[in-house]
Amino acid sequence: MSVLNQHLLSVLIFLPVVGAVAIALSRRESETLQKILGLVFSTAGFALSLLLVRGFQDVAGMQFVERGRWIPAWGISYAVGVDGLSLWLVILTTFLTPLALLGSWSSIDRRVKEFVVFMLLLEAGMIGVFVALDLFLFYVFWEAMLIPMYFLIGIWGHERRIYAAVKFFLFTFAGSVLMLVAFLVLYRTAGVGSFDLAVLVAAPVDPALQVWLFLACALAFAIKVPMFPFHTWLPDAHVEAPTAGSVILAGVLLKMGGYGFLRIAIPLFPEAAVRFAPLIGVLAVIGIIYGALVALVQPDLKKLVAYSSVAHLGFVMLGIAAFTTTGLVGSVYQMLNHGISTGALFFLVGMLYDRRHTRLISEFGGLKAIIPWYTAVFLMISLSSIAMPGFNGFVGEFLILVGSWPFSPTLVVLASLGVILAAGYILWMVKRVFYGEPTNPKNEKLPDLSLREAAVLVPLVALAFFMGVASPLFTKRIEPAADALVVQVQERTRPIAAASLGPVAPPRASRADPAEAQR
Amino acid sequence: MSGELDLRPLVPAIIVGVTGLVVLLAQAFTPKDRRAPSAPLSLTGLLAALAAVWLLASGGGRGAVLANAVSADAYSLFFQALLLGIAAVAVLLSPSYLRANGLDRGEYYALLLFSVVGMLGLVSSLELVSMFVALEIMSIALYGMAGLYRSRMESQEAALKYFVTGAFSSAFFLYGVALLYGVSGSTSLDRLEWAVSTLTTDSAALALLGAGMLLVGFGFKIASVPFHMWAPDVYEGAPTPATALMSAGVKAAAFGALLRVFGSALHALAGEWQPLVASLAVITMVVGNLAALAQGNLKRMLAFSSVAHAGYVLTALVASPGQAGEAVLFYLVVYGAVNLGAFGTIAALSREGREPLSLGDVAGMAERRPALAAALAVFLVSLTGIPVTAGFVGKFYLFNAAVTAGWVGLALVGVLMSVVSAYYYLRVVVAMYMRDPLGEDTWARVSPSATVALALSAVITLVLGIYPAPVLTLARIAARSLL
Amino acid sequence: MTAADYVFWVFATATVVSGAVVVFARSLIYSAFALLFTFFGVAGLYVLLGADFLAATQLLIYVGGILVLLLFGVMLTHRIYDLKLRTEKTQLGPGLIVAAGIFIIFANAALITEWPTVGREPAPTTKEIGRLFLGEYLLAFEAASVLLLVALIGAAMIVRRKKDA
Repeated sequence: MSVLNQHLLSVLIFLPVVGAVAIALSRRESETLQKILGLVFSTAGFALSLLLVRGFQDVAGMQFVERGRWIPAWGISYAVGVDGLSLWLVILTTFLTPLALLGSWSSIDRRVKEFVVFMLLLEAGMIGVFVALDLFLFYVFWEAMLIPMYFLIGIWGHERRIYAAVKFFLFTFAGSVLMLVAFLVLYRTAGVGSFDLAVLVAAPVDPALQVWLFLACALAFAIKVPMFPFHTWLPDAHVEAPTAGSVILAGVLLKMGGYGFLRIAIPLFPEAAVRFAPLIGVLAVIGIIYGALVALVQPDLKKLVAYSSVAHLGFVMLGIAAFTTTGLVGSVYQMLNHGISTGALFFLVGMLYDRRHTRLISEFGGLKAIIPWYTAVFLMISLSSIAMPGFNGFVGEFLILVGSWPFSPTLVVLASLGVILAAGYILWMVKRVFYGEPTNPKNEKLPDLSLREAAVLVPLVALAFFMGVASPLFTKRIEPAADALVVQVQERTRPIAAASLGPVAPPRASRADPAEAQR
Repeated sequence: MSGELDLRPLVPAIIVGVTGLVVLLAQAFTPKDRRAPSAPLSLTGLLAALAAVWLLASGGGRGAVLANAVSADAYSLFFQALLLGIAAVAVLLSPSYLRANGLDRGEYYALLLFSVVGMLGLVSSLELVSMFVALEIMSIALYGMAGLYRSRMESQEAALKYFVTGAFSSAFFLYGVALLYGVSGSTSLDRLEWAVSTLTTDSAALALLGAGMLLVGFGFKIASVPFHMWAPDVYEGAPTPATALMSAGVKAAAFGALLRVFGSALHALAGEWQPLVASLAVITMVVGNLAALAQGNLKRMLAFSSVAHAGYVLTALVASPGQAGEAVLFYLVVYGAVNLGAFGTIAALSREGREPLSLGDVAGMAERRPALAAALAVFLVSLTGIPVTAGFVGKFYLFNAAVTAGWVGLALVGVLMSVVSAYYYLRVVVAMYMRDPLGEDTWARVSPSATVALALSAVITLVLGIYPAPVLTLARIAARSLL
Repeated sequence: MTAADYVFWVFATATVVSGAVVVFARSLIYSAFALLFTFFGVAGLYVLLGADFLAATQLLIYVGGILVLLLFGVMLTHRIYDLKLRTEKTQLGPGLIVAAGIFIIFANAALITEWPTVGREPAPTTKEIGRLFLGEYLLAFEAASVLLLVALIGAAMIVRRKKDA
């Protein structure tokens, strides 16, 4: 068991890869086998990832760390580990992947083999991003994961899938290449000959340079989040992607943006991060309100959910910009919530689409009487999404709003407005789709949830509820890491005077001065 | 001058040259109704030469010989191994293509082998006249290969265009050699290095002009803008395996010589030529990528992409000496594998004088030929420079070298142009994976030898993307031997 | 100016002017004949530089061999003989500017360089050339034979009759 624990993260990353290779070698026609294999490998990954939770200590710092030589010439190592910030995101990934595979069991009916292979590769890439402790490794996973997502949207998407896939790819690729240059410049200026995150964090960078490097990284992450005004790829990608793609995209991929800020941009460039925090806060709140307003007028269910993502992730970014322990815990928590509630919403919309091949709200109405179980699940997930107390969304948004109060009361008030708007667009949509008299005769024969669909949705609903009532189970693991990050940044950004007067060795210049004066 | 004649550093080139003659003779002595075993002979010769390189690398015979004209230092040996590998893959791609296009002749293989002789000489010459002769051997053989299609106008145009621009560039090269001779009184790179480092400002002008002329000459061979006009026409018109050899081999050999001359012999003038090379790199990347965007023909698209990649390599050259050498060496390995693969895929599908050249030709290939489509996708992704392919590690290395030397702007142009390139490379992937096939699949079954070639390229592309350390170490050793 | 200087100017003018005629003449045969004077001029310059062997080779090979071959080719090919050539002047302006720029740079560089001069009596250079070919430049000398072989194969391949067209 201890051997497994030592290599647990690598196992989590490479198990899906092994699965993908195995499936790639199977015969094309054996589609059921491929689906089952995909499910087995991803479920096994989820089971193993629970070992992470069991062995996790509620302290700051990296755990389950593994280091291996990779490219010693450049000081690149294979270094992975988890802390409170990434632990739950890894679990979220391993949790959603088997559900996504199960959810698309019948809706993906062509090129099944490639689908399962790409899903598993995607999972490996996502886990890799969350656990990488080396900038090079991080970047490799960050970009490598683009490819399977690109194929998922482009092959199994809807009408405008190719446009959406290419747009998704070019947007995120353009953002990330600048980050690569920032990494290279950092590598050079830090002069420590290493891409190791911890080593680079310890090597301070000139604040003037930090601004540029931070901006380059922030652009990559802001596109991924997506923050207003870099969100334009998201509605296209979400709407055109197949259900499983939307679920993973919303559930996990978007989290990488927020996570990137927390793991990369802020620790590496704290001074610049503090400087830009007000801007990020303002953009976050604009995103909240803008996303909500646009969602309000969407005629298409999937687009509505997509724009609600922009609003939800605005909350995440607000918590990060506030940079208090409470705000950060709220942000991480909200990322999980969003993964679950929006993931579930995309599943639900996808199931409706499988039945009716339309997603227009106006096509539905009065579904409550026809498909009661579906309606019940939809309602619960909607409540989670609008942060109803008792559900997970409430905990996250509450923590963020409380944590952001010291940062800017104005922004908190405006963001609260977003909470109300969210209730507005979701509930209005629910009213139009489920309540009233069944108006459209095409809806009369709709079947209710199948057993398979229920198997997909029940875990999500249960978790949404569980995370609403038992939030300390989760937050207590996030908190030490969030707290450590806040302390670390505060120490770095404290006024320079305090640092130079401190008991630490005086700057070399002052010692050298008398010697030069003598000359 | 010592009395003994030490030819050891020349053994690989001699083996390849002799193989070329054997191929010609075998052709002559084969009865008319039988096919001469040209391809197996060529492959054997190349592998024997590769073995010779390996023996040289592990044993003695690394010194400069023949009055310091040629040497088998680690740098030469690295390039020789690379070039022989590239040529071997090109030979593997050839038989089925030549048969499909009615071109199956021994002369093709002989010319291929002789062009390799030229390439080998180019990277191991320590003296400008020998370097020039080697350059000409390589070029003239390729002019012939480009015009192999007697019946096709494009092929004839390619040969003529290649010949005229090639002759033009040779003139520049020779003029450069002459001017540098005027500076140093010698054509030896050692003497040149010494002379350049002790120059007065007045004669530095002459040395710079010489360097500039050499740069123009090399610029034609590596197809850097503005000396790239021939590339799309020639790449399009030449038989595809020959195009693969041109894009992978010629570029590698020319960069090998370029780096030796500029990074080593002329490094005292680096302050002067760096801005020049930097601006060449920028326009090459920009023009190459933007022009590639507009291409509908796959071979032309790959030709402009190969122009763009010359630009990427030039960015690292600017950083020379430093890390540049290693970065360039590593990238050329990656680039060789990837380009052989990309052109090889086109060649492998060729049938009855046709090959897949438009996006429509490859539409839906993922469903008909999953393995081949996957291989081509890997090559294209690698050309874009996305992990986990070798292209990413290679570009990372190049741009890292540029940034380390303080040329952050160059790296920025490079990565932004990579984004542009993503669009046209992905267009092919889109066609293969996301569009429905048009009409019947009339392309050839991929022959066993081409399968080996493509599989080899794909495996190298992936392995170098995941675990590049061993080749990086070799590239480092090789580049260090230059300093 | 010494006598040698006058001779230089004569040869230089002959080379450049006849070179211009080669390019601008409308008829191929004029061009070919003008080339004769260009070759002669260059040979003269070689003599002035003390490169006796090179001058002789220039005359023998270029004037005696290549040019005669060229003239035969032109005269025996009826249609080429009558052909009126048009030298197109595309991009005259940019071309002139670039050419003038390059000329100025080169002339300037040539003028400011301190050329090492060898102050010795003209002596036969054949011995020295022979020594270099079999010594310092042995490799290039030998490799040139491969070059010729390749050129032969290439040429043979290009001119041979299509058998499968």
